[in-house]
Amino acid sequence: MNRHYRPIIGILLATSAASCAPASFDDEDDTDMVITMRQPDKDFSSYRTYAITEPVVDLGAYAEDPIQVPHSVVDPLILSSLEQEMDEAGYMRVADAMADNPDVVVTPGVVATNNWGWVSYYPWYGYTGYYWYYPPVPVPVNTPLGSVIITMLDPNATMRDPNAGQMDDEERTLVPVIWTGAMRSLLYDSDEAAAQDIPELMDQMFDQSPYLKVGGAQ
Amino acid sequence: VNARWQRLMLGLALLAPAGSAAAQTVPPEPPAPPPPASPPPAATTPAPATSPPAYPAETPPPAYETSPYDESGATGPVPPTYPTFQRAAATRKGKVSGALQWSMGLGVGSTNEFANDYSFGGFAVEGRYWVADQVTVGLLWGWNALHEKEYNKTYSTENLAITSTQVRWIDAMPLQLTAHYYLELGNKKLLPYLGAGIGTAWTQRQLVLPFTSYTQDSWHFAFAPELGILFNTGRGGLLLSTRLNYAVETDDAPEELWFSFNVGLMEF
Repeated sequence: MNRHYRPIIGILLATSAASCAPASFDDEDDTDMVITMRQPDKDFSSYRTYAITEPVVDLGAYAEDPIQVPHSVVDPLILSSLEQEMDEAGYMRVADAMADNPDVVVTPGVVATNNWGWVSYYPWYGYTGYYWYYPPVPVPVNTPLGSVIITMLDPNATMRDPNAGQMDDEERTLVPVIWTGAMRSLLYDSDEAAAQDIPELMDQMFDQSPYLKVGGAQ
Repeated sequence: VNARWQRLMLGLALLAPAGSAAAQTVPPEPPAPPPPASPPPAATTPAPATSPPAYPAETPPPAYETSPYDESGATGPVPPTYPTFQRAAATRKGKVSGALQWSMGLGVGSTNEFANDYSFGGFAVEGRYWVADQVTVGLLWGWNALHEKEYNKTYSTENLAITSTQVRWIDAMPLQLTAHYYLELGNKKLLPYLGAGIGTAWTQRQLVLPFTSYTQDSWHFAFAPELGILFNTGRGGLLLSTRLNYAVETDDAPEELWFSFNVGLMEF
């Protein structure tokens, strides 16, 4: 190849390579996530009543590096938005999960964790015409994330523990989990942010589980 | 006197040039002396007495002839013709041209639904053999990376649904035999061409979620019609082209259809 073309070849290669920078998860909205799972092929059409267990369970004991959850802020939001979504799905709430024998029992839990990572950046990058030419400095950063986990049980579909009797002689009865919803977001640093995000993500949780509607929308 | 006459005749016979009149005028008498070991050519190849003086063999004849294109019938000197640079450079047959291309991509159809961003990431390396001045056959290896980032997108199966930011990728790598036909227009610096490639393509679809990813890859039968233009600068040129790449559906992966827009250099 003619040597006059070498700079052009270099530009072509550099442009092609630079364009391959992967799209990545690099902003705050990327942390929002809602996951729902149901018992495989479970039919919810026959359920009519529900109960919510209170208070909201703190699941920090089950997580690595947990941080304090602002229960006074988030718990009322979780309970109210959960009740609203169940009502909108057509369920009727009963007061007592044990005495009123509901069709399903819904148990909310919450946990917050530290999530440490590294961020490299150029200090003062672009500041009034000054640019930093030294390698970027990696800085440890923490993204505190809060998660809400909703577990739906069928108290009338108990089953005998298949492992009972192997470890001890105690007869145990299991209550199957028929649906689980989890939502994750940044741990809210203001009441206003929490008031906006928790109902929004709870709504998404039920939107992506249309089979929960009373009467059965598969 | 007789002996002196004989020596004189022998000397003239040896000194006379081939075909000279002097050699023809040697009388038969008196008797010739004994013949030399290799007789002089003058004695064996007599030339007519009216022949012009001979030129050395390497000397070309003068270019005085009648032009075959001169319809007037007039005779006269015709300027000699020489091979020009343009005529010598006109033929590409038998040459091999290499091309390096920056390849940008855009999905079509279901490929676009999965990854719809216009992608600037990609390249193609190509070799073309000129089987004729206007026809090449060759081999192409390329890569296009199509991608899309979408917020609050739900990925769902029968019993599982995940709503989150999604990053979706399609890597496509065609490896194909190619053939091209070039149109020579009035301006020979511009060579529009059309062509096609046929062969295989490896594709990989990747769905990346915040905490996991799903990957699906496969080899496809693939082909790609192509339109392009070469700006010929003599030893090399700029290449602009677009290919419509089609990778046929397989048991493991869906079909992929995408345009690649290519800018590159090609050596002649």
